[in-house]
Amino acid sequence: MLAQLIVSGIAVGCVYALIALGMTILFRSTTVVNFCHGEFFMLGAFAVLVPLQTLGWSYGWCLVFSLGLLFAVGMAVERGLMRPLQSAPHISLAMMTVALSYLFKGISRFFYGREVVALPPLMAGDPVFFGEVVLLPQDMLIMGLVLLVVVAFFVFFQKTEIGKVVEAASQTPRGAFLSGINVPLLRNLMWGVGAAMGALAGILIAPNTLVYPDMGGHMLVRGFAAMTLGGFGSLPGAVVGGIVLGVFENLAGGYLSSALVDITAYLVIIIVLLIRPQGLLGWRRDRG
Amino acid sequence: MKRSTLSGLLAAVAIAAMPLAGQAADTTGVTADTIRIGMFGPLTGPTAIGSLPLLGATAIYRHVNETGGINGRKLEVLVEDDACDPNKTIAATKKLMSQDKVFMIHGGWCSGTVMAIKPELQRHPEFPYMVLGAASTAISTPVQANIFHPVATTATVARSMVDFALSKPGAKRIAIISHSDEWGKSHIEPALAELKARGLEPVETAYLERGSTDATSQLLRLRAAKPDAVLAILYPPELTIYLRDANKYGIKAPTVTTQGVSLEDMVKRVGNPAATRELYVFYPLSRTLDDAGFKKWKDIYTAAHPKDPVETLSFMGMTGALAVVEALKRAGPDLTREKFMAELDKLRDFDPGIQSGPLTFTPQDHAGIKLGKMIYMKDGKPTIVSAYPAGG
Amino acid sequence: MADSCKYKRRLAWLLLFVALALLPLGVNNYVQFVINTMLVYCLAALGFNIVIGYLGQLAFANAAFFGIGAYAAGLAMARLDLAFPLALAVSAIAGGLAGGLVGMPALRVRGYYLAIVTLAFGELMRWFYVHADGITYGAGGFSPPPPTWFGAPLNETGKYYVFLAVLALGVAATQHLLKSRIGRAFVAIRNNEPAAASLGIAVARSKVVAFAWSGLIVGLAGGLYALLNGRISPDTFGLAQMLMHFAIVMIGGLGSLLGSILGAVLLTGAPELLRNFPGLEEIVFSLLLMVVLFFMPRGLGGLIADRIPAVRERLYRE
Repeated sequence: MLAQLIVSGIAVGCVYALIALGMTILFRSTTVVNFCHGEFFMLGAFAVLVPLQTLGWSYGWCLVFSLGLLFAVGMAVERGLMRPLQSAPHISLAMMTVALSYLFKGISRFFYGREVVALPPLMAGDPVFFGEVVLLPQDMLIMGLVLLVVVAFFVFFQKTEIGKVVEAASQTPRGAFLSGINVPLLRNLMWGVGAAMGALAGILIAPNTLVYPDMGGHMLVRGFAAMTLGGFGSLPGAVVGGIVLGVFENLAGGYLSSALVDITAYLVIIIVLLIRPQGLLGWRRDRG
Repeated sequence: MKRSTLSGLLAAVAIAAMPLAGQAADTTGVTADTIRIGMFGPLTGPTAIGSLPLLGATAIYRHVNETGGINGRKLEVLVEDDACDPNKTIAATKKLMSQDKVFMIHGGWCSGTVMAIKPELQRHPEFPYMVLGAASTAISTPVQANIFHPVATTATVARSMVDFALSKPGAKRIAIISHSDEWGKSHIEPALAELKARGLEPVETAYLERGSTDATSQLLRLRAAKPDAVLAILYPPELTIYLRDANKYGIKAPTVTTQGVSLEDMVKRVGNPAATRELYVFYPLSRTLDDAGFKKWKDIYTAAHPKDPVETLSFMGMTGALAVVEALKRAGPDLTREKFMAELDKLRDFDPGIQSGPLTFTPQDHAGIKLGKMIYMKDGKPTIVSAYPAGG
Repeated sequence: MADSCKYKRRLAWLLLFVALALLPLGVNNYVQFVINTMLVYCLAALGFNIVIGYLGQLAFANAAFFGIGAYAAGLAMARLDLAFPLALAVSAIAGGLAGGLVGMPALRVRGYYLAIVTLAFGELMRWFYVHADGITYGAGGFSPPPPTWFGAPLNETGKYYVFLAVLALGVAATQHLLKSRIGRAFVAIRNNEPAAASLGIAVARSKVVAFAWSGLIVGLAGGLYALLNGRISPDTFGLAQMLMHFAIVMIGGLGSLLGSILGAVLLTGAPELLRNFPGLEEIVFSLLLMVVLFFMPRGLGGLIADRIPAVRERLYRE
């Protein structure tokens, strides 16, 4: 049982990692904690569902459409709503993302409030056995994709010129700006990337959970917990935090009590922030 | 408004004392040619699927109006949205009672919302209330004179589920997976009581929260307990996860579930026939939806709501509406609230053919439906059974 | 101030007093219920404002304090058979203790971290309400015995006067606190914490006091809420409740008492007015919030304070 719990925990944790990665990118580029990330997650799933069901497009095109749409939405949100509030107190930015979250939920509820719809999995098929441990093809796809994304990020930020530029822009925006880097454009693009990542997580998980307007809330908290555990603002931290959280949840539920699964994320947040606020891998300063 | 302080005070006292002055025949909400009925349910919000029973009930009321009304009066229906939020329900009920002054209320899909207005209904014992679809046993037990419960309660459902699970030859090890909310608990308690009456205890009880995306730890525990049958007290999204994961982890035990889900819907969502082959759903209706005997009700429903989905849930509010209509008819043209409730209390074996069993109200027992069967997919066709089918 | 100004002001207050006292005569039970709800949220917003407006800390524990107060009052009435005034006292004390408790770790945790940890605290409390069902009656909630006044049940009108009295007391006490040394310390800390410390302000103690007072007021509001609805259940005190408080305070204006009142009235009344348009409530709420964030960062209270000097001096604090 232990092996299965850990492996399944990693599979679930990979989705948390993807969410946390998206939120971290947004946090690093605009120092905003994005309370509507759960809705990017939800909109991503809906954006695949709508063309699939109503326009009859193929799955592949729906995926492209969804990622592209959410990329654009992310950029639009940054340009239209975040940038004008850049000089306002942080609480206004946070509240803006909260308001957006409600707006997106309300809109999707308007159209899809009465039903809960199923999204077919990206990879169908029978469960695969590795000795005692069983995984669905979808689980393996999730783990593979997240690994790919993590490697891609690592290569991007550490090895490429552009990556270093982006890194510089997020660490010292003023200095970067003075060096001629187009900081606003980078911020804009980062929001697009973050939103698209949220959408990707939604697309991967939706076949399991079904698509409905409130599906984002559950994920948002897990994203926070993963970011907190791994260290706010740290990209590797987001991944590590997500995976560790997924495993913790499963272990707690399997060995202690299934009532604990839901609350693991909250306990993690409280304990980490009280004992070691910088998390496992984070920066040692508060970003208030 | 020119009032001296004294008459103002008197008026305030009079207004405050009004609920106590119920002795005169109560014809609030009745005019020469209308009867005003208030309704509430989740038109919006996360459980908006619960608006379907409301649509079914309003379809009946509309049909009654089209076919001549009741004793020369038409039904005027006011619908309020409560989004399954008890606080909204309290506000909606107060509005319907004090501002719109309806004759009675027919409403409530989420048990939490009905429990929330129970105290208000207790304070106004002259005010008739018919439950729309909320199933919690606590609504009608202990009995309250003005609350009528025309759907199978969670106690009935839970007992039927246990009976069915144990009807599988040799079945002794029963496991339970449930939400930890009121709805879940109100099923678990009678299930445990029924098992205990047979000298049994569940071999494992696991909790899966609403909104979960994964049930690995719960399922591994269930698998380790080697159950003969699993009682799954879950809403559709979580039941989908359970069925998929149960298939994945090789749990072969049949799954018995509540009336909160619809069989065809679940089969579609899970998408894997192997995973739903042994799924048995408590079925609150008397026949399958494609049965010829149901056409009449389907037609009434689609006439009133041509664009809305036709599902099992759509018909769950209809028997309550038909009971209301029948009692209104029997109360005659001199309609009062007392007469209406007295007629409801005399309703015996009322069976228009929609619900799984006949509806009976007595002054001591307002839980009207005591029977129910299971439905499952037999070779791709929904089939109703009352005991575990031979040959599995 | 000229005598005629003083006289006009006195007259205005007297008229307001009379109008408030006679209000129940002109409304039915349902409208009275809505007004009572507004009063409860005025108090809750006032309490929230202390921590988020005056002290300037991003503490999202309001729904938790609200819930703690409601449960404390409800359980006091249901399990200990206390009369409602005592139950309200219990809710205030419970809220104050909770506030103090949250205030202490809040000293070490700043900014977004504080927001997230207080949100987690709120959800933890909800989990507790659901699972400690031996004490809290569990997920389904419970209905405490209805409040009585000298044997007679307290109806909507009676509740109105009680709530109004409690709100007036809460406002007066809070004003007093804010004008005192500690109150002015809050604002000093919000504006520049190191400078405040260098001026000899006991920062840690002031913060804890602010949290404790906020918890007390919001807990008291929770107690009123228990009386208002007569039904207490865990789901009420989650993120949706938190957002409601937040929206009221943001739309009304941070650090503004008048703003709290306006925000509470607007956001409690709006859902009732939107009854005929189900499904639009969320959208309207969020658009309203966004408009305020963009164009009126100091909220409605700030807008009015800019126009009316008398208001600015008495009821608004920058």
